[in-house]
Amino acid sequence: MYLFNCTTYHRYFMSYGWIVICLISVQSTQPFHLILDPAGDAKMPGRQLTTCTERSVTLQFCEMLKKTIVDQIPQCTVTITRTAGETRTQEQRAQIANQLQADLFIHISCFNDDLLRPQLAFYYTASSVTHSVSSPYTLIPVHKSFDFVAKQTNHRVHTLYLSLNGTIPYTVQAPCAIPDARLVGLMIPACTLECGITHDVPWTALIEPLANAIIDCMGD
Amino acid sequence: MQYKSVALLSMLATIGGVVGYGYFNEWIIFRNPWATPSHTVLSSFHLHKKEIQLSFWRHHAWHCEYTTVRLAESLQEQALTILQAWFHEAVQLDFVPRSCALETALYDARASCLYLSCTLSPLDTQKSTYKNLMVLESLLKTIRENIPHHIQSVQLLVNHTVLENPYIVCTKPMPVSGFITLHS
Repeated sequence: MYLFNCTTYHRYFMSYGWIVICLISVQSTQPFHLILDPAGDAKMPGRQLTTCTERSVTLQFCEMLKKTIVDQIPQCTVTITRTAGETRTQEQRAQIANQLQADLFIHISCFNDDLLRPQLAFYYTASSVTHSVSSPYTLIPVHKSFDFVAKQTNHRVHTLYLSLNGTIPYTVQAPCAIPDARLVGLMIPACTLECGITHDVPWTALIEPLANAIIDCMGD
Repeated sequence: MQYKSVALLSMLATIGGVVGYGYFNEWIIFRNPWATPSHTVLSSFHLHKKEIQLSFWRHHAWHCEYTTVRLAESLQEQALTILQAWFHEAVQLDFVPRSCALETALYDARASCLYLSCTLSPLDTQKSTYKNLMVLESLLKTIRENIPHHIQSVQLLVNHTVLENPYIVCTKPMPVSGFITLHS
């Protein structure tokens, strides 16, 4: 029963309201499902950092973040979209996330920052128009898929931003809605987290506060 | 007598050959003295001077550079001249990669979308998404402030083909109002 897509779920709500009440009460106890998507893969090394490439740092970052979250909340499910040596296209990443019906998708990216105080930025996809789906078989263009969860995403991204702002040695930029190529095709709340890497501030300093911010986001 | 004729003919042929070679290589130009003078044709292109404002986001603030350009009457020519000036300044400021220049500026049939074709992608994939985003915002701000036309969107191209960027979707036209002003 957890495999129903949103439209089917809505149809059942219309026909059998009492069943859905039971479903909602069961779903509220469902563990939070987080998907972490490290930038780059076996074919795409990503940006060049001082000593290594973006793909290795982001994968390590995701693994450490997963461990920290699962240690604090064991019932939380954290999925990483790739392992070392694997290749994933954007379509595959989006398909993994959509099929798992996760609560939050975070793409982790990093860059070589030349500033003294590194920067941290959140991006999410700009919502264009409000769509209404009349049939479960309606075809949706990948660039419009995000519109269905725009409100939830906005709320979750701003929760993450407020939790992190002022608590870490980073300049946290306000969430920015852009046509993000790394979130194309996603139909769940999703954002990109891009952090600057400097000599002075190790990226590991971000793990604990980010894990706490995600846990705050779960409780919201 | 026969010898003289042959010598004369040879000389004429040589001179004709040299003149013909010079004409085809444009060393010698023949001009009709009764034709319309070229300066009359040039005067039909009405050029006017205009001071334009080029915007750049640098060091967390908007910076403006003022420059004077000669604009033609055609809207496409105007857009091309203004934005070529922006790209030239952007290269000087190390805002976009070197050897990135604007080749073509064209409007669509309804003049609502402006197509800009560059020689190289103005977005550097090694830089952060924020820096790349601010390159686009600076370009869009310059368009808004200097091109008095009802442009709704701008489509960036590289060598007249779609610009692929791993961070920002550039395959669709961007709203001329920008992203940050719209959504944050």
